[in-house]
Amino acid sequence: MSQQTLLLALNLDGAGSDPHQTADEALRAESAGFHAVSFTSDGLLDPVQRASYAAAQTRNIGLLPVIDALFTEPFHTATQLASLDIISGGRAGWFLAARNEEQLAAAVGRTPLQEDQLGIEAADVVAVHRRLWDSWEADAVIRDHATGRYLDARKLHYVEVAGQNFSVKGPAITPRPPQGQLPIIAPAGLFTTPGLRHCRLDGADVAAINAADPQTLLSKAEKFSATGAVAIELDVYLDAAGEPAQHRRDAQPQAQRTERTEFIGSAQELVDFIRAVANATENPADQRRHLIHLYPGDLQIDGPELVNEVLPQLKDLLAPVQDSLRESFALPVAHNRFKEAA
Amino acid sequence: MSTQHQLRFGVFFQGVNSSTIWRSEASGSQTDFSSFRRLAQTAERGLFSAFFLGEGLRLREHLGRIHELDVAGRPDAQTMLAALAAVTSNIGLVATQNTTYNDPADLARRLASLDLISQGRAAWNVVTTHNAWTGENFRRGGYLEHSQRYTHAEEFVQTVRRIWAGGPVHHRGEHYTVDYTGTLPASTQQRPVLFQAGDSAEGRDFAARQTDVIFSAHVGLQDALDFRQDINQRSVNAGRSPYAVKIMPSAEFIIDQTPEAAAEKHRWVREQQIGPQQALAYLEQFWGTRLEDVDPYGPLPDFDPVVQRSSVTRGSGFQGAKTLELAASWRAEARAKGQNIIQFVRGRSHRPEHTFTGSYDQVAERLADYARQRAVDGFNISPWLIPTGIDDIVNHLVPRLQERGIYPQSYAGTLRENLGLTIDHDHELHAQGLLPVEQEAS
Repeated sequence: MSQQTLLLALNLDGAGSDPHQTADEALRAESAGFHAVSFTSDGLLDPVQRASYAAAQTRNIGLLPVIDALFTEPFHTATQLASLDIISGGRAGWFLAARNEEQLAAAVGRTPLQEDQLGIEAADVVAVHRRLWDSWEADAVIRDHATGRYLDARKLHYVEVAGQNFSVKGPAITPRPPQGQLPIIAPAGLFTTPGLRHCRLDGADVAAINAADPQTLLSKAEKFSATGAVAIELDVYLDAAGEPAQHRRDAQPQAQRTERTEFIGSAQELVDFIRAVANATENPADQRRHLIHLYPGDLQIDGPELVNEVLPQLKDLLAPVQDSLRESFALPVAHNRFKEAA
Repeated sequence: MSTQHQLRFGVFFQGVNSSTIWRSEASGSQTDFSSFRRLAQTAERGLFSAFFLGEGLRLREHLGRIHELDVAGRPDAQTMLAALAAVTSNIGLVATQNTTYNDPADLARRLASLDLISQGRAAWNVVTTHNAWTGENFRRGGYLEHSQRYTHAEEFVQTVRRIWAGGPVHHRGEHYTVDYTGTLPASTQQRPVLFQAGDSAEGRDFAARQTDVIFSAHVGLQDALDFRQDINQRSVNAGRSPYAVKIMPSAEFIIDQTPEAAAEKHRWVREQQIGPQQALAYLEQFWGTRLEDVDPYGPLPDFDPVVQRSSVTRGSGFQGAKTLELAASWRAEARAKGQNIIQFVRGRSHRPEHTFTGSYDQVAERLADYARQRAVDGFNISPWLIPTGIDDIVNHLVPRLQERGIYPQSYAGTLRENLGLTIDHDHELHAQGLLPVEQEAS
């Protein structure tokens, strides 16, 4: 019998700018048993806001906004993610993007980074997030009547991150999020020395991998999963209502295609592929969870196929949905680095 | 339909301040979503126009340490407001956001997104504070010459407005270079509503040029009327009509069934807000040293302040050079009034005209005066208790204002419509810096 090691996430960009549709799709994904829904910045609305809107209407599904780490302010993004975790009661994670694109840089008056600097920049940004999330100890709000203190300053910490291109003083303005540390999923390409180290707490938790085709993706998954948790990124087009998936995919404008691996086929073929991923990444010696991150080619068509035809056949492979996203990923309790140092 | 001038309410979930009571059993979480939801839904039941959130970008310090005595620790404004959009239907959602520590394109995109996700209910409360101390948390830092405060802010706001008007925007300015090529769907209220609170002459002119609503500090009736007249004149100078800019002063309400009950509640609120430690900390800002050996139930310190510079980090501005004079005058004032330190600080920290206190009927009558004279367009209420601090306003005051015909009976639509604001297309172009204001020949 195989282990229950897989998590499934469904991207909801297809819900567009209609907030009600976003909430409906998130509820549908939750009741179907997905572990998380994701929102990219390619959608019309801000990914954190869409996640937050969905959080207010759901109860146990994880929320994964995709947020760029290169051309944003780490203090702001750390605050936004901590807030999403507070609002959702511990269901937030961060899908870190590092899109070194001219257009994104120019919008904030900057220029793209040298390619060999991406890992370092992302590592600095992640360090700011990790340290800000620890900068309030969980019991920093004391409401002590005798001394008139609402806070205990000894439980608040300056983060003092001095990165290569910026520095952040801290502490956070938002209390420690319920999960302590949010799970961070980051592109595997960043996991290179001296960039992000593939270890918990100090870097990202999960490496997101892409490949030219599903077979290559499968062998990459096998390789990367030997050292840590992986996220499989997949654009999905499924046969539906008598129309071959390939037909729909070919009709899609070139501009809407992505660099992600495409899976084009029947629901059963996708089930078989995900089973193959489970086998390739299975390691009885550890408790690692791996994420299958599905981007439906058309949320209205592929969404129901996933819910009705794919998920029910995967139940034996899926990890239980826990109260927090961290627990769903089977990550250990996040100890506070400042508390340990004290 | 009533032809009387309508007052509107907003509520400000402050999150960081000294006037929110935390020692009472009735004081709830400052951080949990349930507190925000409770307050926003109560306000919406009372047909409030707006729910405000503040913005903190660095934890306050006091004499070089993190300030411990007041409530602190707030979630990100727009992230919280997006969640509140899901559990409310009509109330406006106002995010305070700084022009110094944000990128114009990023902020424009996020505010437009909040406007879409809330279906026409978003607003931006523009704040322009700037200092290197807060800048230590940001890539871009934060130091600006004070004289550049408003030129910087205006360049920022103009850029944001151009992005909202439908890019692409290619801006090369003194402070920013922005090449924005994204597009956003149109908002049902055209663009987010703009609030601002600046009070200097420069700040008022900025507000007259750029904002829809001023979140003012002029609450007393005569003061409010003077401010109204001043803003009307500045609006005309900016090419707008008088009353084009709405004015909603920030105010506190301590009300009850009877005048006696309200007076008792008022006393209790002040006691809860300023305890012995808060009173000493207030003086410490000016004395520049710890006063832990000073008895808060005794007279003001008989020694002089040790430094002549007050801390900028608690926010309240105080000009350092006058510290010695000020300490002497305070000592004299407290002695003359027979006040100990706590009593003195309680008296100082709340300007009486900022608080409406009395029975529900008394306060409704006072507000009717404001409506009759068109002194203000409403009030931005700072509750002293979270999350129940506006229950009595919604349950008892709002119906009395409605009976008097000076408060809405229903929501009109978008936030812009609920505030009675209209879009003037020429002015929009002026405000984007694309069309100069015609100078009248003199």
